[in-house]
Amino acid sequence: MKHIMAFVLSALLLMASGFSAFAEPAVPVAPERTAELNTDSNKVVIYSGAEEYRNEYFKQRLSEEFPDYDIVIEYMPTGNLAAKLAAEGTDTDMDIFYDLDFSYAGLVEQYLADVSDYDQSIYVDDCKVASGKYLAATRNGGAIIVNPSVLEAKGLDLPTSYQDLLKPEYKGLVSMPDPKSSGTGYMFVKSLVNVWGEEEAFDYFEALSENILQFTSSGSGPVNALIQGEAAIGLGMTAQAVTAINEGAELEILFFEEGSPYSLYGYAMPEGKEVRKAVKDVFDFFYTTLVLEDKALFYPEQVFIGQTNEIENYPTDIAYADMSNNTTAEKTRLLENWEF
Amino acid sequence: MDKIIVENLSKAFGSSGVLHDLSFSIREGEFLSILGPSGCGKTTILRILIGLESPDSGAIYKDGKEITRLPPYQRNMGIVFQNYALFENMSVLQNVEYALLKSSSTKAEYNPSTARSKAKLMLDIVGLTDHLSKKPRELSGGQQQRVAIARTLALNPDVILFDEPMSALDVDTRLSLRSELKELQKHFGTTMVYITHDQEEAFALSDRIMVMDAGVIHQLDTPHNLIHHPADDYVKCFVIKNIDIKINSLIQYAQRREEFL
Amino acid sequence: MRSGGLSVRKWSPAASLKLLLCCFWLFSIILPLLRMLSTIATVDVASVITARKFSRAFSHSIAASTVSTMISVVLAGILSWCVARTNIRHKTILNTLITVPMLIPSISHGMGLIIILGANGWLARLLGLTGGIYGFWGIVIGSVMYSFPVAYLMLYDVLLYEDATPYEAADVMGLKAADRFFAITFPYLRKPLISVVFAAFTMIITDYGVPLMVGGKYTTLPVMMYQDVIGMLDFGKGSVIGMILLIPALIACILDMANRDKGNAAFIGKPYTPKDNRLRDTCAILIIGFLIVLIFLPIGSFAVLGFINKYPIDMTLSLSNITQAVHMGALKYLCNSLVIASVVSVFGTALAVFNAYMTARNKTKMSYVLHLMSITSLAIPGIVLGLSYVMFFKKSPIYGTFAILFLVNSMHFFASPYLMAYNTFGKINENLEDVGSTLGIPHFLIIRDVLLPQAAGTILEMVSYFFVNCMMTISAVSFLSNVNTKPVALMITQFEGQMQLECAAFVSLLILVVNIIMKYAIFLIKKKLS
Repeated sequence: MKHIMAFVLSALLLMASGFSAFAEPAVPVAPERTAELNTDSNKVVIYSGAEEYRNEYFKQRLSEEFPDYDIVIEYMPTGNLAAKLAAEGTDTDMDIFYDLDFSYAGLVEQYLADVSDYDQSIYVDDCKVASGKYLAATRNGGAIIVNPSVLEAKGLDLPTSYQDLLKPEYKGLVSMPDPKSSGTGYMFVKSLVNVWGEEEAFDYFEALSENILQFTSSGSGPVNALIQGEAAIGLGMTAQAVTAINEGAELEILFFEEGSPYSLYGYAMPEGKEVRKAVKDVFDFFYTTLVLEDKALFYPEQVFIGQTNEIENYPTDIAYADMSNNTTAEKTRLLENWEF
Repeated sequence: MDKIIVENLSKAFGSSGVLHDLSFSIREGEFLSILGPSGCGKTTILRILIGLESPDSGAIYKDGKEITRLPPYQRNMGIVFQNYALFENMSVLQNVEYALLKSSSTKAEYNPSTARSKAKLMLDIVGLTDHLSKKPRELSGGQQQRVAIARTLALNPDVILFDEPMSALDVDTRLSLRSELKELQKHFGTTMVYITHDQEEAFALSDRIMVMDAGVIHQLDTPHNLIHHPADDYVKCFVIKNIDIKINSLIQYAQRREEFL
Repeated sequence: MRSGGLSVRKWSPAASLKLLLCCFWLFSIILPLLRMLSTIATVDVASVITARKFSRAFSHSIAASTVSTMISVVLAGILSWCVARTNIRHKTILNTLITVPMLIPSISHGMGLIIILGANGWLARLLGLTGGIYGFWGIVIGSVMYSFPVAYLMLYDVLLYEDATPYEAADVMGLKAADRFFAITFPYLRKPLISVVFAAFTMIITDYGVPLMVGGKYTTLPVMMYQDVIGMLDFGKGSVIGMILLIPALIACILDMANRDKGNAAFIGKPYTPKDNRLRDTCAILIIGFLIVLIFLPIGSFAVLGFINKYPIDMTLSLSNITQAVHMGALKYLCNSLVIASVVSVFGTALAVFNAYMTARNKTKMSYVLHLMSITSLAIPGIVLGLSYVMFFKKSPIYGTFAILFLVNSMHFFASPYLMAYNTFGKINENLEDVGSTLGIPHFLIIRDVLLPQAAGTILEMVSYFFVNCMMTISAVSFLSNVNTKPVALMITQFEGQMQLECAAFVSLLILVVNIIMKYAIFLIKKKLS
């Protein structure tokens, strides 16, 4: 009897964890405040690596929620954002950053306030941050995006594998973000390193660089180059491509058998900013509400347990690439050898 | 009577030049030329006399009072530079007016209208009445130097120093300006100290001439005595050589004139 | 006896002012730079320099900069000859048109190039060009675009002031045109040419706007520095590259100084007046016209781009880019830029005039130190200066305020206006102050009433130089500004990062318009003065 009970219990537990994706979404609750917060200033400065249309949305929602606060959201490319923090440390006008690549966030962790009191059980496993210095915001998935009309004009077929991209007829038609300055670029490199091994992956990129038109500094570069017809094939961001398609661009999103690479983005407060009530209020609002809305509206790929989002034209059932061992130290090591 | 007395003046100047323990005096109302090759220290003496530079040692007296430490504007002396040093952004008239109205020694005496009439008077004396509203760059070199002289004279200094004032001018202008200068000196009775490396000029203008070389005074005497009683071989060579050159060039000129005719 | 009293009274104020200036330089240039260089200590310099990617970027930089400089100077030479040595009319207008590219950031030139010659550029499609301009030739074309007006202005000045007497002698001797060129013009131009070549070379080799936009895979040193600092947060390695970039500029500075001292007497003589020659003038007009059209292709393209919906998928005319830019604070940031440019053009000019006075008209040993410090900024790339300021000033109260932007811009653009003032003061009669003190006119009155009015034209040019450059600078301020102080030019990189070329084009245009207005205002004031 005891055995049966144990079996049933463990089966139930298994089911619960196995089907957690279909469970009711958890409602995030901000941690209770124990200390008195500083109310001297109502100004909150947010630097965001998110695209302009998302920042617009945040701005509007925040002004509805906190009409008395003076909230500024400023776009800054994720690399610049990290460089700013690394250079300024905690002597910065930045109160909150949003959408900074995990690998960069790891590099500036020492300057960040502790947010480990925020409940991270609402996140899917790979979005949980062990150091408790920042919280996950976005899963940015990558895809091979093509502009079929450019290919058609040149009488070329759609590529079906990474090896296809090496074909000489695609010379000068491929655009890829520079992995040194763009997290999007790096995730493609990392995913292939994980599947093929470092040597083979680097040989691949060496060969691919023959066909590359330009290594763009920003992760959003390739899709924009595709829209402008500058490139025919781009290693870019799925969400950006979907947005462009929904705005009327004729693009096609492809996934190769190695799976969709992805990178995670987080948000945090530099140390010393968390003692201000206005900053803390805004940060809590991101935690309880805005991040979820951002996922539902713009970047649907899964961050939270139980949240499924549907966006028009967004690919479903994405098979993800193996992105294990995606640490800051590993990134520094790999890119030390990157020379293209 | 001695207007200025210089005692044991020493001064290092330029990269290697030195004035050695100079003592001399300048008489009231005289025209004294300092003659010597370039780099002999004559300009340095002038700048020390007026107070633009200070001596390493020694003293200067004017009218019996020591002026070694006085700033230039308290010495009641004027200076005329080789390059005129006019105020290029002002008209001829304004150059003189401005000096009268802003100078610490005259600004109490003048208001704009009296300054204007005084400036006009001075410019008339140097023959520039027709050019009052012109800018300096519209004038010839000789005319510009006349403006500089008028500007200096206007402040009524009792000593005027000239730092090679004519070396940038052509021969004809020099000759006419030379005689005008002599006239002015007679008219105002001002003591004048005149630096030149042109012996002819020195001999034509001066009551006395100071022959210098390498920071040392070889002789300070009348032109007549320089020729007839040179103090040393340097003065002898210097003066005679130049007279020879003068004579030679006269002969050449005469020959050429004959050929031409 | 010693007359120490006099010498103390005469030298003390000037000497202490110079000391004050030296301290200022110490804190605004030397110490920040040293602070940044101290990060090099943590880097294995040898391994950075010997790495394959470094040597590749280095040779890319050298190759692209050399070729661009050559083309730029030759083009500038032809054009300046066409304007200065012919009897064509409306030279002022032509000069203005030719120098318009100097009024927008280099990154805008890169952008303009993508629009016309990119893989999908309208001119590339029109001419059936394939392959695009990304890479070596992209960098070269873009670099020539913004550097040749600078070379042009320098050469035009030189040709304008060349003594005509040797040409008259040559006419008498019956020399052929080619002989004349090699016997007179070229030897005369040799020295100024060295200055021009190095000025252009320095400008090109330190620029990252153009290579970032159209460099493709052709990585240059500034781009590598950008990647290492921004992408890898490796300030130490960035500093090493910054140091390497200082070298050509330093050489340029030294050569320039050596040149300047010898070439002072070249001004006496008779200005060159071109003889009548219909054919020559017609050819000149054709060449100038052709080049001006080329200059205006990219500028014109993004003028159009600023007003269309979404290039190239929706080519309808619209004001949506303007609304978006305005919505994102373009007007506020424009105001920031105007504040920065105005304050810097006043403060920077005052500082440069003061400094030049101390070095050009009050020569002591300390003047040389001051002079050297004043021109060091010529050799410091903006990104290096900006980074060193962050590190040095981040704990200071001016950090994060407008004050640090005023300071960094004044320093970044100091050398050229300073040299303008230095040269002008050097040419003004050396005895002015002496005459003032013997006439009993106070020193400050001589400066205010005589010296400054004579330098008025130069001072106006200095004001305009500071203003125009503050309006378009990106590199030095990108680290130092924040949401409250951000200048409008940074919106270009903000848009460029997201490849929103249309909005970036609009902002470039905004900067261009403001700068043209400023230039025109200065032109009017100068005209009124003379």
